[in-house]
Amino acid sequence: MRSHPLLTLCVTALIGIIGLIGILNIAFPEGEGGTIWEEQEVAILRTLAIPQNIMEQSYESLTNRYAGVEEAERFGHRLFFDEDLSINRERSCASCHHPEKAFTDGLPTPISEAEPITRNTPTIVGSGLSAWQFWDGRRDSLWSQALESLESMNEHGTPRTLVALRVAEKHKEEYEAVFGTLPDFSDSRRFPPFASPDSGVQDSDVLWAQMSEEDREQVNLVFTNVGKAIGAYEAKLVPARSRFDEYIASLNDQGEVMEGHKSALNQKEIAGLKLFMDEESAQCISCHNGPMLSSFEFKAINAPDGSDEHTDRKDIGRKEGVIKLLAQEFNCKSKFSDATPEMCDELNFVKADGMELEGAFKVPTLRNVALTAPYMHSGVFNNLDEVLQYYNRPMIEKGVHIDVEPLKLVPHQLEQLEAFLMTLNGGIAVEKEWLQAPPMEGVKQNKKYAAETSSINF
Amino acid sequence: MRSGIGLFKGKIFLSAVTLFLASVQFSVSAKGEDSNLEGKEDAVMTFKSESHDLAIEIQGKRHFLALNKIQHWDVEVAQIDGEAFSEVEMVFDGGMPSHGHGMPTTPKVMKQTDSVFVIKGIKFSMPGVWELYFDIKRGDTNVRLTLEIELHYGKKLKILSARFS
Ligand code: HEC
Ligand code: HEC
Repeated sequence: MRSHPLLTLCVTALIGIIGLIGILNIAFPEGEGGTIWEEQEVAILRTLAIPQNIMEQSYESLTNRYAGVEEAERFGHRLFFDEDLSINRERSCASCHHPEKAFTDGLPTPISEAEPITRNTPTIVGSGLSAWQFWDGRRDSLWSQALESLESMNEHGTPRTLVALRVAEKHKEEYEAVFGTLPDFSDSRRFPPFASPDSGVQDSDVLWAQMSEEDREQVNLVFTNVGKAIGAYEAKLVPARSRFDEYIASLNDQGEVMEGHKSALNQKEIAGLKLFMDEESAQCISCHNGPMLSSFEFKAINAPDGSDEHTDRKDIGRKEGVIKLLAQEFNCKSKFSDATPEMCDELNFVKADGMELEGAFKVPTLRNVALTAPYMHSGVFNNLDEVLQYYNRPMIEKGVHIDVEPLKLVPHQLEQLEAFLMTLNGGIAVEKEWLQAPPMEGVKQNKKYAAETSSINF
Repeated sequence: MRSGIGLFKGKIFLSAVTLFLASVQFSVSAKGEDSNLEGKEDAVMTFKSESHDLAIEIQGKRHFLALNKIQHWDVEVAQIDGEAFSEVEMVFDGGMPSHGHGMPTTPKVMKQTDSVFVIKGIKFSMPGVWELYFDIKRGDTNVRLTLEIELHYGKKLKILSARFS
């Protein structure tokens, strides 16, 4: 196509102007303490800060009445670090969710002896503030998420009866202090260790079907309580205030850094924040919003997942996740949930169909994002620079729904955005003891376990 | 959707509003401030069409028009003079046409009385322009109220257009 001379002129002029603005921006950054924000923008900024009452926004407490109960949190803390809950006693939740990496593992996808795991290990910090767990939201609480991790062959691989037996063997007192008397599981004909309706262990479903209804109920009760203790612990792990929050707290309504405060962000970071919030250009805030910098909705940005279009099946994300969510036995409306069905708004009105669910993944939090590399559901991007390069030129394919458009930012703007993202590290708002393998005194343990816990060093 | 056409769009919206104002009267009220409806439990939006002899009153409950919060709306459908219809049905839908997606939830319409409905499970998952469709069916006549609203963090709600068709 031949371009029109007038159009060319306009485009050139536009590029010139944009360039000039860019140069002016670098050459004459606004003075510190000056008004950089309009009142409206200050109001928006405040919606992004971590509020005092962040715990009240927890979804976990909707379905898990042990959320916020200290004994349950302590018990959950131990279970989270307990390798004896995995079938071969070699793996705990912390094997993939390392506290010092904001509970991620630093790998594109975890190493697995069973089927390959195709998804990246997400942070758990602040996950309790989301209605959805996993990249595809196939679980709707931390406790029900934990139940999948316990039984999944890729993670702990422990059939649910065995989970109950291991807890009875090792954590009886702790369990009973929170949940009341444990059933007597000693009759192995009634409680075959490998029984489960939903585990990868061969014939576990047959064994489960042979159990009496009553015995299955008893196992389910202990199993779900184990999940609730773990959920209570995880729900505690909310992000602490970062430099970004300090900056917002230092602004007055007119957008000036108040007297007696030093700007917690430098000019470059502020420029990045401006881009982040700009609904006309970068538009990050349209998905990464609220105190967690996530709407926790499902969006498609078409990030590569390493699948080869000829050989592999592309990860369709939410489209499949929502089907699993509605079918799973531990959702908000199940009898194990502490919510009444009419309290389950998110589940009751969930979008179960539509082309926009295909390839959509849960918008991840950006809190502590510098610690959670690699990025995206597939772990394809090694660093934030690669992420931003992708947003600048996302993969737009014919007939594939995508919720982002090319940013078309210049390199120094991408650097500003990255500088801003680096200000979101605030760590986790709990005392250090919660971020280490807990002491195991008073817990019956095997020798191997004792040796290992004492050598874990965060 | 993006910066380049933003200016143009503004103009189109402005003229759209003037155009539709001619045939639709709408009023928005909330106790206290005028159009800051977000989260207000006692806010009311009313839309009237003389030619269709139709008045639609929308009243939010908790989190009315807030972003990222599931909310339930009461919708009353009546004749212009306030008289209830005997048989009326309503279907609700919406989305963000400029982003190519529908509602992020599956809202459900429930009939309370002959002319009062509750729409449960509305959610606005993103700032920007949303279109909402209220299809009112009375016997053989179908009337659609299309609302175009703009929601942003920290800003007041803007009703860009309201149109009966
Ligand atoms: C083999 C590594 C591995 C182990 C062990 C593991 N996880 Fe995960 N975890 C993952 C991966 C990978 C995902 C994402 C999977 C997906 O989305 O499909 C995940 C997702 C999660 C999520 C969802 C977070 C969110 O915001 O969506 C939570 C919560 C979680 N795990 C908790 C646990 C708990 C509790 C345990 C122990 C019972 C555990 N994990 C054991 C790798 C692991
Ligand atoms: C349309 C919604 C949307 C917009 C707009 C958006 N994001 Fe995202 N973002 C997502 C989704 C969804 C993912 C996860 C995608 C996946 O895993 O495949 C994501 C992932 C990320 C990640 C990786 C985080 C992690 O833990 O893996 C970063 C960093 C990020 N976005 C930053 C940004 C920035 C900066 C902007 C603005 C330039 C932006 N996003 C705009 C939806 C959005």
